[in-house]
Amino acid sequence: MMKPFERIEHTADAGLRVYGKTEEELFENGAKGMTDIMAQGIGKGIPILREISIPTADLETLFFEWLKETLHLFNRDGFLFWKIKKFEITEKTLVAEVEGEILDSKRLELGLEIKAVTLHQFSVVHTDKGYEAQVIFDV
Amino acid sequence: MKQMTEEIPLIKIDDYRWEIPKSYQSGMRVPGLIFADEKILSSIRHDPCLQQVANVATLPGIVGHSMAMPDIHWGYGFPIGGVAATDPNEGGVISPGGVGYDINCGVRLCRTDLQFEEIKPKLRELIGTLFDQVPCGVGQKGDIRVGAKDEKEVMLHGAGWCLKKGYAVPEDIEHCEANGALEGADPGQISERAKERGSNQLGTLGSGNHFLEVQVIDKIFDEKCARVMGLEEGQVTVMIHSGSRGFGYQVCEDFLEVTRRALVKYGIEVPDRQLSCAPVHSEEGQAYLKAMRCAANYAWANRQCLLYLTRQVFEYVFKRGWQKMGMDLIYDVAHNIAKFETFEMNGKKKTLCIHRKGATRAFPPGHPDVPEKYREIGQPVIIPGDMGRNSYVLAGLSGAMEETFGTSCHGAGRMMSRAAAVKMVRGRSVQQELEDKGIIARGRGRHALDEEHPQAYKDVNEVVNVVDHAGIAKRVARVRPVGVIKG
Repeated sequence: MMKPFERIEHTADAGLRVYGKTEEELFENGAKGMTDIMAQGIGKGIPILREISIPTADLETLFFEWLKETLHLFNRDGFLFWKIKKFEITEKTLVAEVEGEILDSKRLELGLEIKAVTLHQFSVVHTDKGYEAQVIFDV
Repeated sequence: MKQMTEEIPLIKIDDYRWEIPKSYQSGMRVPGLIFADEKILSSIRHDPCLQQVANVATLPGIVGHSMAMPDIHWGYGFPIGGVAATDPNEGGVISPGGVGYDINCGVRLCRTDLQFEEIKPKLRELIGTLFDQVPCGVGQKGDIRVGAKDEKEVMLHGAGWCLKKGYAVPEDIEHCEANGALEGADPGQISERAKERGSNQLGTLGSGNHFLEVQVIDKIFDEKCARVMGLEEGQVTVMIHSGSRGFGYQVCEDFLEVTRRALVKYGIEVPDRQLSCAPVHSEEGQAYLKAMRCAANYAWANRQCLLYLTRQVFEYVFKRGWQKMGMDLIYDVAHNIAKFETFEMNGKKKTLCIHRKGATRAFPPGHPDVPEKYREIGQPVIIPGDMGRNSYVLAGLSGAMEETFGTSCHGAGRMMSRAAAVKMVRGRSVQQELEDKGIIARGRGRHALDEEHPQAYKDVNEVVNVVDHAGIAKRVARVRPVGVIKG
């Protein structure tokens, strides 16, 4: 089975390599990996739905914007991503419905605060198994 | 962009200076200059940060050298520990990456009249109460709420807002770099997202390498400077390291996008897209500067709120007013910032845009921007180390004005990734190891202490040794930690 994501080394910050057989799986695993940096033990809170809408662009830009929007949901509402419920890329927009829980620091193990998703060594590539992306977060 | 750092030629100038010649990479407008000794150099010789020094040297309008302090490590676009001055009248640019995401991340040092022996019996209670009362860690909100009117005041007046609210005394403001607020901030440049992120984070520490530390002065190097600063051996100090929180991160993110577009508009070529920039005299450059100043001011207000909370905790634990305990702010320095400062270049006075990315201003004795109290001895420079070894108080020297645009190092500098640090300490208790050394440490996050293990950092003693010997800033006092809280 394909690993959803793995941590990669960076001197001062936190990085991820993300895998997915499809674009949707890549995006879901990227958001899961990012959440994993911020908190562990999620999945037991009250399920909450949120919507993400991003203007369509090339896959690399879209994945970058997707991570930024997911991080924004956390920064605004304390929303910790679980999974994608609906995912549609049309000519003009990517619209997704995502499920997660609200941060409860008494119950969850806290990780690192992510300051930003960076373009430093950022990449999304096609592989024979699907897609592979790399991203470094400023923490 | 070149990736292999093995090939970077370094010309040894003396025991503490190394040059990357302009000929190394096409497009370099000035040489690179790295302050390091042989030992520090060997630890960064193969790190991408040296390539980043060369990349910064390609920025339009850069003057002097693209510099790196001895605590240099790999950053985004700019290395952490990087210093670059651009001349706005020669097409010089401003780069958000040259300031960083955490705009005006900085550090402040507060003295006390307390001796370590006095606080020792209550140290555990003190650290526990600080940990409970000072919000730290991912997603933690502050109790100091700001409404829309206050929000604007914070952006415009920084630490001055705290004075109005009763969270500061006038001496606190005088003892902040730039008096705790940059002029020329414009809240109209701030996005709703940045405001949202900043609305509940005043008086919060954050996570990562941010900390609040209770320390003891264990060595005085310069009696005269120490006396002026009110420091003596055995005395308890408090050091606070934090920045502009989500507010500043969002400002940086917003303007990286703006300056990426500006690269195309102004036909600027940079070897790394994280070096995006805009001419200082352009609409985009001015907009970023106005927004960056709002974030810088937010950071000064934040560190002042953190000091206010700290003083309250000391009052609660020691049952005395903070003024009775002599808890005066020694100084507060920014280490991620861009400012306009005047320097002499080839016999002419020039106002330059100084980018300090993980670097500290270190103005010498007599400089008009140094507060009156310290004008005779030079600006206090606060250098945090790691949580197991030392931190330093230095004083700026004239060498900094001549060579580094009035700048010194900012800390120890990381040399091990967070993942590697966690792996290294697997099966060990960092908290217990620190306890064994007499340091009570509390961390909010699962790996907060593991990731910040002292061995993940260069030895700050070696870093400070370089700036002292290079004549940039001199050692005044050394402190050792006795208690630390981390997000």
